[in-house]
Amino acid sequence: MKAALQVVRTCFGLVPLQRWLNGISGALIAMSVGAAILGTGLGFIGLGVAGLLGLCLIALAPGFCGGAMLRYGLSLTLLHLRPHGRARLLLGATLAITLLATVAALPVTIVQPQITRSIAGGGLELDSNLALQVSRSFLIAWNVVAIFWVATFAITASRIATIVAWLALMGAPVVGKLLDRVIPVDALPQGSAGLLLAIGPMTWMLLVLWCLKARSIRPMAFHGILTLQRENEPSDTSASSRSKRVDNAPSTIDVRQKPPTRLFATFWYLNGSGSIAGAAAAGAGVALSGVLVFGVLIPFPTSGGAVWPGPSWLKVPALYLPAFAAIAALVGRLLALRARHLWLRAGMDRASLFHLTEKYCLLITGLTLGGGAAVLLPLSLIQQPDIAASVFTYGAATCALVVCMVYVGLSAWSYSFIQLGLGVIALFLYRLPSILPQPNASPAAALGTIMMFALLVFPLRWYARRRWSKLDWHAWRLPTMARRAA
Amino acid sequence: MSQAAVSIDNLGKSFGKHEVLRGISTEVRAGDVVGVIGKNGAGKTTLLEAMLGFSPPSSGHARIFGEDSLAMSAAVKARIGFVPQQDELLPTLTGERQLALTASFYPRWDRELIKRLAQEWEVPLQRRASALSGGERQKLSTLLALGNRPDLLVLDEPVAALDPLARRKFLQALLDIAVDRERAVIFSSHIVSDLERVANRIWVVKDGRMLWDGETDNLKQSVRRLHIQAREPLPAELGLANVLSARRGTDGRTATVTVRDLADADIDTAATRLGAHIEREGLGLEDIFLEIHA
Repeated sequence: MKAALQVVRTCFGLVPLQRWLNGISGALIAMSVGAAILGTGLGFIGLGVAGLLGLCLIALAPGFCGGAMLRYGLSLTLLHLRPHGRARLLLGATLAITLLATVAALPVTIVQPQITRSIAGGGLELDSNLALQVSRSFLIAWNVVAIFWVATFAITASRIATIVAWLALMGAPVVGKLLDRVIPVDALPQGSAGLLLAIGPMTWMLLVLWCLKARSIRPMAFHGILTLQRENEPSDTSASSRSKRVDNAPSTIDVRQKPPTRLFATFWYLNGSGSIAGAAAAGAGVALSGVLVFGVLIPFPTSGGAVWPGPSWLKVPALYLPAFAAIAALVGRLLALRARHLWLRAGMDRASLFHLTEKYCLLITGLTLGGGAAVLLPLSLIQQPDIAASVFTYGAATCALVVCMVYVGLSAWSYSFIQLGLGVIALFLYRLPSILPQPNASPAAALGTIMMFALLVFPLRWYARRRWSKLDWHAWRLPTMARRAA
Repeated sequence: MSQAAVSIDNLGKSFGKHEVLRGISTEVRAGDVVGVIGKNGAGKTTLLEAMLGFSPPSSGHARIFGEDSLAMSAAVKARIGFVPQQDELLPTLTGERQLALTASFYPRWDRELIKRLAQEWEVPLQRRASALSGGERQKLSTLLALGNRPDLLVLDEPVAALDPLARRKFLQALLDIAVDRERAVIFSSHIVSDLERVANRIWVVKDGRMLWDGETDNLKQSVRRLHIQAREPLPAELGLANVLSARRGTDGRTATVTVRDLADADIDTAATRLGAHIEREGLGLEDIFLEIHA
C-alpha cells in the first residue's frame, strides 16, 4: 500500500507546474467548501466557478497525462525487478483515478444545494431528474477519467494510433453523430445509465488484467520519436539521406527526413509528400473533407443562430481553421529543435538560421492555412453573400493567429512555449465572438481584433529572435526513456 | 555450498536473425565480484538483461537465487539491485522523491547507508533529475540500486560518466559492499583498469560468446606474450597452439605472439624447434583485452 500511495503522490506531482497548481486548487476548493458550509453571501456561481477552477487545476496533469504516465511507468525496465512492481503501480493508478473522481464530485456537492436554493428562491422547482447526486457524479467522473486514461494508454503505444486519435479529436462531432445513429440516446432502455456507468470500471479492470499478464509493455511511441530525434539526428537513418542533407544543409531544412517532423508532416500534409504543394493541398483537403462529411455524409440541420448563420457543413469546418494555429506552433517548435543540429553542421550564424527557419515555418503553415481558406471562404461567400465582409475578417484574424503561433513555436525552448501558446489561444478565444461572421457584425471590433493579433506578431517575433540569440543549444533535453519494455 | 546467486545454462538471445548471445553457461556465487568486458556490441548488456529476465532468452535459461529469472518471486526481486546503462530516473522528480518512491517498493531499505553514500558521493538529492549532470544521475541510479542492500548487485557500465575521483570512491564503495562475502556483484565496464582493481572474476564476451570465465589472476597468468628471436628466418607456420595474435618483424627473424593456456614445456619445445630464444611477458588485463580483440 505504501508503494501505491507513493505512486499516487508521484502522479499528482510529476509535472513541476502541477505542484503549484495543486496548492492553488486546494485553496480554491477549500474556499468553496468553506463558503458553502458557512453559508456566506457568495452566489452559487461564484462558489461553483471557484470549485470547478480548483478541480480543473488539480486534475490537469494527472487527468490528461495519466494514461501516458501509466504507460511510461509500466514500460520502465527496472519495474520488472521491483517486488510486485506492476501490481503496485496499477493499484496506485486506480487510487489516483478514485482520488480524481472524488475531487470531481466535490464541486457538485458544493453547487447542488446552492442551485436548488437559488431555483427555489425564484419560485421554481428543480426537476429531480436533473439533480445530480454526489454518488452519481463520482461514478461519472470515475468513468470519464478511467476511459480517458485507457484511451491515452492505448494511443501512446504507436505513432499511427496517436495520429488517429488526433483526427478523432478533430472529428469528435462526427463520431458523436455516428454513435447517435447506431445507438440513439432515446432508444436506450430505462436503467441503462447504471450499465453505462459500469463501462469505465470494466474497461479499467480489463486494462489492469492485461497489464498484469502481458510479457512486455511498449514504451511511449511519441517519446520514442523524440528520442530518435536526439540520438539519431547527427547520423539519422540512411547514408543517402544523410549525404543529401549535409550537402544541402546551408540552404534548406528538409522536413521530410526527420522522425519527429515526419509524424506531424504526415498529419499536416496528409498526402505524405512533404512538398510545398502538398502543404497547400493538405489544407484544401482537410477543408473539403469537412464540407463533404458535414454536408453529405452526416448533414447537420441548418442553423439559424445569430452567430455565423448558415449551414453547418460550412460553419463547422471553418471553425476548425484556428486549430491550424496549434499545429503551426508545433511545426515551428519542431523546426526550431531541428535547426540546432543544422547550426552544428552547417556553420550558420544564429540570425541567419533563425531567418531560414522562420521562412520555412511561415511558408508551410501559410500554405496549409491558405489551402483550407481557399476552399472554405469562397464557398461561404457563395452561400452567404450577406456576411462576406465578416467572412474575410474571420479569415484575416485566423491568419494573424497562425503567424503569432509560428513565433510561439519558434521560441520553443522551455515551458514558456506552453504558457505563451496558451496565452495567445486564450486571447483569441476571448476575442472570437468579435470576429465570427454574422449579419450585424461590428467591423470596428473585428478590425480591432485583427490589428491586435497583427501587432502581437512583432513582440512575439522579437522574443523568438532574442531567445535564438541567447539560447543554450542543449537546453532542450529529453528525459531518458525506457529502451525496452519490462 | 551456498546457493548460486546466478546460474546461467546455455543462454542464447537473438533479435530477428541476428544472434547476439550464444550458448553461455556460468554461475555466480556470493562473494564473487565479476567484471564483464567486451567490445561495443559484444553482447554484454544483452547478457545482463537476459540474465535478469528483462526479455525471454531464445534458448537456455537463467536462474536467480534458484528461480527462473522470467518468473521471479517478490522475495527474490527484493534481493536484487540493478543499475542500467541508461538510467531510468523520472526527470521531474527530485533525488529524494525518487529514493522515497523506490524505497516504498521494498520491505527493507537502508536509509542510513543511502544517506551516507549520498554524502560521500556528493549527490544533490534536492535537485530534480533533469538538472543533474550525467555523473550525478549515474550515482543516483546506483543509490537506488543499493538501498535494498541487495544480495546480487548488477551494474551495467556504472562508471562510464564518472570522473576519476568519483570512480575511485565508487569502486571503493563497491568493494566495501562485496567484501563481506555475502553479496555477489556483476558489473560491466570499458575501463579495464577498474575491473582489474576490483573484480576477482572476469567474463570476456566476444561476438556473443563467453570467451573467458574465470579468476582474474588465472586469466592474467594464462595469457602471455612471447617475443621470439631466431638466428634464421622463421617459418611461415610457427607451430604454436592457442594463438590470440601474432606479429612478425620485418627482418623475418623476430615475432611477437600472444598465446593463451600454453604450458612452459610447450614453449620450450617450440623454442628448440625454431632454434630461437623465446622471452615470456605477463600481460595486464587491458593488454589482454586488446590482444583478444586484435
